[in-house]
Amino acid sequence: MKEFLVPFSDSFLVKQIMDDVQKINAKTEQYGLKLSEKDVDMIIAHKSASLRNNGRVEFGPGVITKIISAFSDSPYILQENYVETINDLIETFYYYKNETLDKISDDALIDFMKKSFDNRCQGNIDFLRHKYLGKVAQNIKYGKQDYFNMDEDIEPDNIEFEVEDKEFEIKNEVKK
Amino acid sequence: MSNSILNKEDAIQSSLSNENYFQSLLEALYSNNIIGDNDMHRIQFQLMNILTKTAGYYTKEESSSVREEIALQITSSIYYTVGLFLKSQPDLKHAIDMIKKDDVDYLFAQGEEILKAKMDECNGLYEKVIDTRLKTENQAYTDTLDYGIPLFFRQYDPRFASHETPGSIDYPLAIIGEDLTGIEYIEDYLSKLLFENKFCSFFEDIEIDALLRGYSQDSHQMLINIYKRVLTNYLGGTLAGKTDRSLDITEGERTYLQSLLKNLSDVDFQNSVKTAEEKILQQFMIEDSVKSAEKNISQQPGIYDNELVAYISKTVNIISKEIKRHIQRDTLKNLFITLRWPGDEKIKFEDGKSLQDSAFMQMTDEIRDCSRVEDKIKIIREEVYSIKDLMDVFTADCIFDDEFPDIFNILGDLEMALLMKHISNEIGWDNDDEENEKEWQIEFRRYFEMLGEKRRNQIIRMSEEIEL
Repeated sequence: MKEFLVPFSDSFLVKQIMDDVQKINAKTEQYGLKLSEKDVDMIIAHKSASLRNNGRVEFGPGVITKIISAFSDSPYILQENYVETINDLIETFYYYKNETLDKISDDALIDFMKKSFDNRCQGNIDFLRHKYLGKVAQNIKYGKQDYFNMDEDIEPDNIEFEVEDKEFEIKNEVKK
Repeated sequence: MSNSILNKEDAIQSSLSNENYFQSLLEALYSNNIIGDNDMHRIQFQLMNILTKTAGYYTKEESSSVREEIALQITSSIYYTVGLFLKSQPDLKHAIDMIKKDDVDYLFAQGEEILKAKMDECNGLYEKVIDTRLKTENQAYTDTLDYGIPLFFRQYDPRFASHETPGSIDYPLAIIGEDLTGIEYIEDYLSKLLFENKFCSFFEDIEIDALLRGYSQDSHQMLINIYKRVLTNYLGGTLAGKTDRSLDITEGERTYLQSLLKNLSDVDFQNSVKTAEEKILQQFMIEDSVKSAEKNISQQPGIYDNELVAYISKTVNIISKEIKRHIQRDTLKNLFITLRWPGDEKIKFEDGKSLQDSAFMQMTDEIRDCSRVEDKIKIIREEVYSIKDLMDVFTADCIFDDEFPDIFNILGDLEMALLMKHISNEIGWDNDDEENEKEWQIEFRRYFEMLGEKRRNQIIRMSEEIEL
């Protein structure tokens, strides 16, 4: 039964996603950003692992091209950290799909991640995870309607941050 | 050649699961080389397309991924729905042909149609069950009808969880449908409950109530099947040669049944039960048609009644094994129940506080030292506060045989009834075997027989109402 839960093979996805990535590359080449077919292979493999780690199943091409498309114009992404950042964002995305109890649509979550990443977090993905997305998840669990509202913001506490960061890594390491 | 295919189909049929019909059929077909890798890949691909589409409905197209358990739930639901259509085929051969030739989309769409039709049918069945419901205080029965089944209809999710069985269905049927889930479970449950209601409708509600009270004072709180209790007693009455509609079985009838059935060979026993069953069915069917005609109900003779007959026969088969077991253990009184009417409630007796051993011994020494019975009575009156102590005094060798009537003379009706109850429980009131009786018991029986008839009857009635 479980094998039916693997919707499409990765090789099938590479071609489909590569077509979309080429269109994105055409736009981002002006900023010096480009993903090769090998990069896309790596991203897809990472996405499959992230889905497994987070106990999720995806149908169709999923969110890879949406995330690449949304973040490719970020001033905090450079060619040397392009693949790594996209991979981190994909892992973060699935983790917070679970943590926000599937209450947020893919588009709304990507939109919030992009705006926070570019503005409040200034490209710091740990800030994005633990401070802002963590706050959204907390708001949802406490039943707040306006869960994207960051008004009751908390000042970053570096010690607390490090601890949470460790927890995040350990959790995902264990799943792997 | 054709024989080997038939044998293969038989083997497949026997390996199929009611609950996971489509999965088990696919597995059986693949392992028997009836479908190959190409067919399996096609089926998997088509199933995945349905899953993708259904998951899209589930997330309202707002999420491209779902948690694994949701994906598994939707997948199981799709399999279940396809299975409903395949099960509806006239035989396994048709179902196999469809799997080989038709797209899974088609099988799924047809399954969804069957699911809708079954839901309508189950709503209709539920209305019929409500129309024929028993007037009973049994909590499991009323809760299941008023709360559990409506909850199923409210919570059942035919699109994303057609295989699940929500609701709170506690009332046990006489025959449980094995291996069924979802809409098939509720369809089976309601159909059987309707049969059971229909059978019970041939008896008076108050008599059924008295039967349940006879079974147990707490029957309204017990998870018991009412129809089976009714059929058991009615079968017992028929075996005992009764021809009326009464459900009651007396002590005498139980004794008669015990002596009638205990020495029968297995074959003769089965024949006796079969004959009784036929009598019941005959009576039931005749009355059924009369009742229907009176009410101007157009029954569908045949299917409906045949299913009911089959259900009764299966239940009798279960009951016959229980009768056999109870005869061997001489416990028919737990199976064939004497009715207890609302006024027959027992009085729960709680005995007074007993004396400490040393105090009791001191008291019996004092009694023993008394030469006059009046003095003995005085001590008993002042120091004995429990029936247990009183009976212990009677057996403590401190009262002479001829003194017992004087002591019994001071007892009221309740004390007399309690002593009678103890004797009945210990050795049986009608026991003639004086050897096993204690002295005071023999004296008590003699004293009792000398009382006036009115007082005797009063004491007997009280004794029957007391529960120690």
